This record gives sequence, C-alpha cells and structure tokens, in this order.
Amino acid sequence: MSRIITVDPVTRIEGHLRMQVEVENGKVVNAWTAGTLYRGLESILRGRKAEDAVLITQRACGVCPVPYATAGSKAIEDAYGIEIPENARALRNVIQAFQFLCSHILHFYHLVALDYVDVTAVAQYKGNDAELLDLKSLIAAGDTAPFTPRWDGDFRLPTDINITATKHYIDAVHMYQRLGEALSLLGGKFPHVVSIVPGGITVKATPTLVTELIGYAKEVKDFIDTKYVPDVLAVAPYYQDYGSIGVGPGNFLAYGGFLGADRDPYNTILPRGVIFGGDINNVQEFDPAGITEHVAYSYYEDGNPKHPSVGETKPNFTGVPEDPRSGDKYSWLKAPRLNGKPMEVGPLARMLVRQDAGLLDLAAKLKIGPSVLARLAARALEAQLIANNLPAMIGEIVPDGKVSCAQYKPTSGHGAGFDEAPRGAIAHWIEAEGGRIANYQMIIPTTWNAGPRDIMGQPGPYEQALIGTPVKNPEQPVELVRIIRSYDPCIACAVHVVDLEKEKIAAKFQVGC
Amino acid sequence: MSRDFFREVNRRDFLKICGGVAAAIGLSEASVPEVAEVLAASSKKPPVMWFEFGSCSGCSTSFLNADAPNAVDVLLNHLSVRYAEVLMAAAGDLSEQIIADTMKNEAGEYILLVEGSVPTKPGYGMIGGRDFFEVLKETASKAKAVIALGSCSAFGGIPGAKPNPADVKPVSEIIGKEKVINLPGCPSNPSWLLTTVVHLLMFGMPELDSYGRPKMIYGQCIHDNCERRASFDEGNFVEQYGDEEIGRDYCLVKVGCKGPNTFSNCPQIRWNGGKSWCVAVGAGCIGCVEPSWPEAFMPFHDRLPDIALPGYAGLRADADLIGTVLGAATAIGIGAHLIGAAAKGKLGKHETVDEKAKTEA
Repeated sequence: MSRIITVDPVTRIEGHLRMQVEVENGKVVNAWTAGTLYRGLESILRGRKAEDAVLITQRACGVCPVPYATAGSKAIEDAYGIEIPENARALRNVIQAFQFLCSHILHFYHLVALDYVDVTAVAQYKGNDAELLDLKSLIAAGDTAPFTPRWDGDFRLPTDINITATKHYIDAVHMYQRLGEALSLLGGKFPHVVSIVPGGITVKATPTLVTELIGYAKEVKDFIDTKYVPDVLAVAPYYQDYGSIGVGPGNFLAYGGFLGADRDPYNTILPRGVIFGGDINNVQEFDPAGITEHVAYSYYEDGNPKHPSVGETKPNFTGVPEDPRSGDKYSWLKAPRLNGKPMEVGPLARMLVRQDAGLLDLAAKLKIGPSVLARLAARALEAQLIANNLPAMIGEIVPDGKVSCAQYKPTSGHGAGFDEAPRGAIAHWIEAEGGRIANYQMIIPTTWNAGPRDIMGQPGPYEQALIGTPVKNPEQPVELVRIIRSYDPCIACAVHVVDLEKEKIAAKFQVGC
Repeated sequence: MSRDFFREVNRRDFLKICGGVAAAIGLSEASVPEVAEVLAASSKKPPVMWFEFGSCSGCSTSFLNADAPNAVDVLLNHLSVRYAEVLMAAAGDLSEQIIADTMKNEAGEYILLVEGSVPTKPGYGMIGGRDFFEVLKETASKAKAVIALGSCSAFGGIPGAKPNPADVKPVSEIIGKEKVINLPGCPSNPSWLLTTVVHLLMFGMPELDSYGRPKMIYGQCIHDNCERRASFDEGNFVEQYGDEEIGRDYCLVKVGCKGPNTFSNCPQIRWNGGKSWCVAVGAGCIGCVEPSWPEAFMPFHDRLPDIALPGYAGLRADADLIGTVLGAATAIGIGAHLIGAAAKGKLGKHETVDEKAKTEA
C-alpha cells in the first residue's frame, strides 16, 4: 500500500514550494516538487531600456540580489561590447563576496538549523548571556513563537551543543546585519543594490571605504572560523545518516565566479566546470550550447525543449493535480537540462568542480556522499574559502578615487552573462535592439535544482534526491524537508524563468528621453 | 506624555524623533522610559502573522538588517511572530494550524504583515493549496491592523509593472483601506516597520497620507534633504556614469536620480545601520516608495521628461500634491522642485534640466 504525503508550504526557504511524495513500505518511491507562485519578471522587461534589467531582475530575490545585478550587467556588457575597468571588477568581486557570506550564514542558521538544533534546550541554560536569558524566560512563559510549534521527533544533539548553536543563531542575526552594512557601503542599501550598472559600478573607491571593508572582512572571517564551520562539524556526527540521504542525480554544474584580472572563468577560486554521473574526479568543460529548457510538466504552453536564447513560452495554469501521479502539469518552474541531464548547482557543485581538497578529505573522513550533509559542509567550507580570499579581493581595489565605470553607447546585439550566485549557477541572456530589450531570459540556480520532470519523464534534482528516502513518521516527514532545505531553495527566483517570444519592439517604446 | 504627543510637535522634530527610533526603540531619549512602560504594561508581546505572498523575501531580509532595535531584540522582546514562513520552525499542516489558532485565539489582536504582491489570477500564487488572495481576505478579517510591507503589497511594485502578468493588486484594493497601513519601499526600510509598530502600540494608527503611508515617514521630499543638494543648487551635475564628476559627489539628477519626485526619510535615517543610502554610492534614488513606481520611474537611469506643473514653482509640494499630478500623467518629470529651482535661476552655469530634456525629446 502506498500513500501520498504533501508538505505545503515548505517553510524556511525563500518562496513558495509544495512537495509531494509517494511512500511505500516506509520509503519514498516517487516525488514531485512544485513552485506555487508566478510573477513573470521577464515579460515586464520587454521593451524597457536594457539597463533597467539590472534593477528589475534583482527583485527576483531579496536574499541574493547581487548576482542578478552582475549577471544582468554582464549580459548587457557582452551585447554592447563593453569591457569594465579593473577597479569595477575588483569592487564587484568584493560586493559579491559579502553577498555570498551573508546568504550562506543566513541559510545555515536561520533556514536550516531549526531542523537539527533544539532551541528549547536553552531552558537549561546556566550562564549570563542576556539574549539567551531572554529566550530562557520566554521558554519558561511558553511564548516561543516562531521556534514552536514544530515537528518534535528527531532532535539528537546534546544540550551543550544545542545551547551553543542557539547562541550562534542569535549571533548570526547580528552578523547578517553587519554584513548588510558592508553591502550597503558598496551598494547603497541591502537588499537590492543600486550601484552595479552596465559598464562597472558607481561607488567611489575611497580609502575610507577600503578601510571599513577590511574591518568587516575580518569580523566575518572570525565568525566563520570560530562559529559557522565548527557548528557544522559539531552537528554532523549526530546526523551521520544524512551523509547518504538526499543524494541527487550526481551531475554538477558551475559557471565560475569571482573572476581574476585575466577574466578567465576556469582560473578562479570557484572555477567553471561540469561533472556527470557521479564521476566526481572527472571535471569537464562547460558548453552553454548544451542547455535546453523543458515545459512538459510546467504551467506553460507545450513546445519542444529549446535553448534559452530561442525559447518561447506562455503561462498556462492547468490546476493543481489531485493526484500527482496523474501525469498532468504541476509546477510553475521549468525544467532546464544540460546535454539532456538534470544538473545540481550550488556550493556542493562548485566545491566539487573546484576539486576542493578540504571537502573531499572531510567527505572521506565522515564517509559521506553528495548528500544533505555534503551540501551543508560544502556551503560552510565555501564561505571559509571566500572569507580567506576576501582580504586579497579588497586589496585589488585601487583606492585613489578613479572612476570605476566605463562609458558606452547603447546599441543592438545578443549577450549572455554567466555568474555564480550563493545558490548556484546563474545566467542571463539578452537581445537588445537600439538599447531596448527585445528578449530577456534567465536560468537561475533554483530552477536547475527544483525544476520538475522533463519531456523524457526524468525527475529534477530535488525529486531524485527525495526518492529512496526512508520516512519514519509520515505525519512529520522531517527527512524530506531537511533534504529540500539542504539545497537552499529560492523559489521566487525560479518561477521568473519565462522566456519571451521574440518580437519587434513597438514604436511606442521609442518615445521619451 | 499624552497620546497627542505627536500632534504637539512640529514635523521637523517629529522626523527627528522617528529617526531616534532606529537608535533605541525609544522615539527620543526622553521617551525611552515611556516606551518601556507601554511595552511592559502589555501582558504579552503583540502577536504578529507575517505573510509572504508574491515576494522576493527582500522585506524579510531587510527586517533582519534592523539595527536598533535589532531583529533579535524585536523577536525576543517586542513581537510574538507566530507565522513567518522564512523564520518559523513549523511547515505544512502545522503551519496551517498556526493560522487557524491565531485567528481563533487572538482575533482582533494580531497585526497582519503582508509582504509581496497579491496575484488575483487564480493559481498564480498559492499557499497550502489556497490562493494568496483568499488567505489574505481570511486573515485580514480578524486582524487588528494590516501593514502592507514593501511596494509590492502596498501598490503592486515590480510585479505590477506593465503588463502586470499575474494581475496583482494592492492589499488595500483587496481588503479595503480601513485598517491598512502602507509601508512601501523596495525593500521597506526596517526602521519604517519598527517606527510604525511602536506608534501602533503607543498611540494607535499613525496619520496617513492619501496613499495610506504614515506621514511621519513619507512626508518629506528626498531632494529637500539630500546630502548632494548643495551641488544641485550650485549647478554641479554628474552627466554620465564614468564621469570624473561622479567622484566629486555632484548631483545625480541628470543620471536619473528620482529624489525630486520621491517622498521618504531615506536621507535622514539612511539604510543598513545608517551606513549608506542610494545617493551615497553615486547611483541616485530610483523612487521605490512611490505609488506609481516603477512604471512612472523608468528608465531608471534617465532623466524623465518634464511635465508642466503650472503654479508649483517655488512651492514646497508634499506627496499628496505631487501624487495627484503623477497619477493623472502618463509620464512624470523631474517635478516641482527642479522647476522651482530653475525658475529661481539656481541651476546656475549649466543649462536647465528642462531645456536639456526638451532638446533631447
């Protein structure tokens, strides 16, 4: 006898996700994940000035807006033949680094930790930390929202680790706020920065700015070295089984980020590359021509899989299937594939493509596969890698007040911008005509990870990671949400991936300034 | 101190006081004990349900960037956040149960926070298999007040720009204006939320402008309080990104700064712990708190063609006055302040902004 378990909403993720699994003999035999929101940013971009895409597409994600700004700017720079000044490259790397660090810290502590850490252990706290004492008195008063109610079945950590991790959960909020300050110094405000524009970045690289950034870099490195990485390592041994739970399709994709002076995406701290079939030591080159997008199970009018630069899709909501096994369309997300294969993107993909010795050693030591634990560990180690490199990135800024923006004339052309976001590989494609947007597409990290089945019926990475998972208590399927959260979903981003039909720009868009 | 406290001070003091909230939840140093008294007097923390509908979560992450009081302090000591999808431990049926319990046990007491756009096309945004707009109507019906946090829920925001693909509508159009406070911004500044909540708790509903925005926050034109206003008055402008002038903190109006058309206290309270704001990094204001944003404010980096605003020259217009004009016009201009300045010859040695726009048109 099989039964269907539905979790809707899946919380502590960005955006709206419904998860359904079919459980037979205590094990998941089939899975469906669905984005349940549609906003359609790309259709809003049609006919706008190309530069507006940099600000509009950031609104896909208020957790990680910066990579939208960089990918959008890169696409426009590619289309217009603009080369950004060295100082702009350096400043963009630094703002991107702070963006990665605040997103990774937010993910582990605020989105994931409550799955493993029992906050109520603070009731036994004996120290004198003011915030923990506040929390302790709330627990005594029974006023513990939003930490309760919750699924209670599987907290395994000893009291001291629970209390330490809870303290760090609180510290992480403060760290997040501090990183927001650093991001605002570079971007005006955070989230949603205004300084990144095609041609470079508008912020003035003053000696004061550089000095302040060095201070923030030191502070976040201390947090990662003394709290984030140690906490992940402290929790892992108690959840050893999650070293083999949540294994995805074994295909990994990274576009490469944090470009150096040679601007070669294969020669960076997080390089470009592809891994297929779990052959994790065999990193291959990435060919963008191999990307297709599928809509067989997505709420769009049917069509053959297409490369994003020639895609055409229209919304076609056909209802939520009563039974996910019906074969009907079920998600607002499309299903991107590389060489026909579903790909996992994100910190684990990047660290494997990088062949990161620290991660590979840790995986061997803890005997873990490309699983829930591997994703959490890869994210923490990636944060450490970036924090270690941040002083050198700041050192590349030339603090002499030179402008960090190239001047250019808007024109026509096709462009692509590839970058890395905290959650994985991100790409924007633009077709510009006379400075206006004729066609704009994005494939963003969560669409790769959370997309539904493709035209061949192959489940997406989330779905494959869910299949085979033992579920102890179908009423509280904590195993399943732990899998989903390990990817750090950003559903609001993912559902924007709606290609526009190519069409001539109407004359009405030509008027004005 | 009476409930009329805010009515007894002039706007300037009032804004200063509001800025002070970001320094110590306490309005001003003198009123800190007052705030504490009010908060302590309530037997429990006020319950809050925080819904993210068609959002990017940016207003949630913005809340985490609050500095004084910081987000931990707010969560531990000031608000009882029952439902917040990005923060809460619960998921699935359990989270649905929280909604039901809060509506039943705290009817008329909880504050409903709405983040994100509300699509009105069925199926375009759902939680637990129900359309957002249904969840909104139901939960708003028993709420003490509804705060539309951010431009999406207040006015439609980016998802509401043409062609408005999901047919999103402002919260106030779906449930009526009665108990709605709009706190637009993309994202909303955390200080605006905390200031408003404090006001709600201490004095009830704040005074709103005709767009449902608290006047204490959205009552002054950004251009009037801008740190680069002196450059504007002296006629010193950045002409294009990449100009050497950008390094001299010149006025950004010619590269599209919408400060003259935008009303908020951004220049005073700034963002992210007061560290910065859009003008400070040389990019300019994009107008994100205004009802006609983003449609009337794009292209973001272009000066918008001026519209005639007869009789406005030299006047200190407020948001309601300007907004009436903006709402009726298909395109908006630099606005009253520039025209006023031009009329007084303040643009000095440079050509006036109006003339430049006409030449290009």
